Amino acid sequence: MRLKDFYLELSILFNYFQSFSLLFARLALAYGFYEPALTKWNNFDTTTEWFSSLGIPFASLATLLTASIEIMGVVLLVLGLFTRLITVPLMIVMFIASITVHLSNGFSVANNGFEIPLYYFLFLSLLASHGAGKFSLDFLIFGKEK
Amino acid sequence: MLQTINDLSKNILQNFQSLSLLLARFAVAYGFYEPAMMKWKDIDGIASWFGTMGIPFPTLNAYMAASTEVLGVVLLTLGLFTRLISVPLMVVMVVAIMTVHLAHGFSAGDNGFEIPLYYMLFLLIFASHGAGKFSVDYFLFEQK
Repeated sequence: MRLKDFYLELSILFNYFQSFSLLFARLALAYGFYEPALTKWNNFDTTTEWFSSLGIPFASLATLLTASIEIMGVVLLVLGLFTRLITVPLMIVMFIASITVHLSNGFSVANNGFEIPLYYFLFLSLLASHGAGKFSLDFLIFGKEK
Repeated sequence: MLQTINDLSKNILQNFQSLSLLLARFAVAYGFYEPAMMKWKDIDGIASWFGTMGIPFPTLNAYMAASTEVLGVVLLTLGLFTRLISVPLMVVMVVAIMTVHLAHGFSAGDNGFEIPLYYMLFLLIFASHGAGKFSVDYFLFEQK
């Protein structure tokens, strides 16, 4: 079947870009988490008040946790180190952010809806399941993906 | 120890590859739905808008962009010819970034290139990884 041969050949060619696509996604996510992470660290008390006004229990502990997860996320995603381990808490952060802040604003990013946290969640789930690719410390330390 | 943790998390999380690709495909298809419909409903308006932005052959390009996006919605949802359709969709995103969004900076709140950039990254992942097992592609091409 000629179409099948064509598509399989195309797949082999495009497979070479797997690690690139994962690297770019990691860098974009790290960049996206950079600002909210720093904002939380620099305005720790304001963030705590904001968290408790949202009804999040143990607000200062939650702020500390969120800020540390985000800042670690930035560093580890850039390096591609412990990628699978850091993506899971980051997904939880995105999930909570969607529910507490963005969900009531609807989908669209123009109204501060849950569009961007949803995209981050999806990128993180892709990274969690596929790993960081070959351009990563994970690959250097833990070796070949099967 | 670290090796064990890494292997363990890998073994568990690897099972979600196809699910994550499926959900990402749906999200991108949903994202293309509105701009695609908008272009089809007012193709003449889009053509003159393209003309004012200095895009050559605005009518032809309006039809090309609109059909690429509509095809993208359908094919990404089905997971059919996923790697193939991702490439023209990425081209559409590059053109959109250069002609419309770049001047507004990065942030999505100012209509910057944030969202089209994320779409490009999703599409690059689809092109290089395929659509996963929950797709027509898998039944047609990859199943042994």
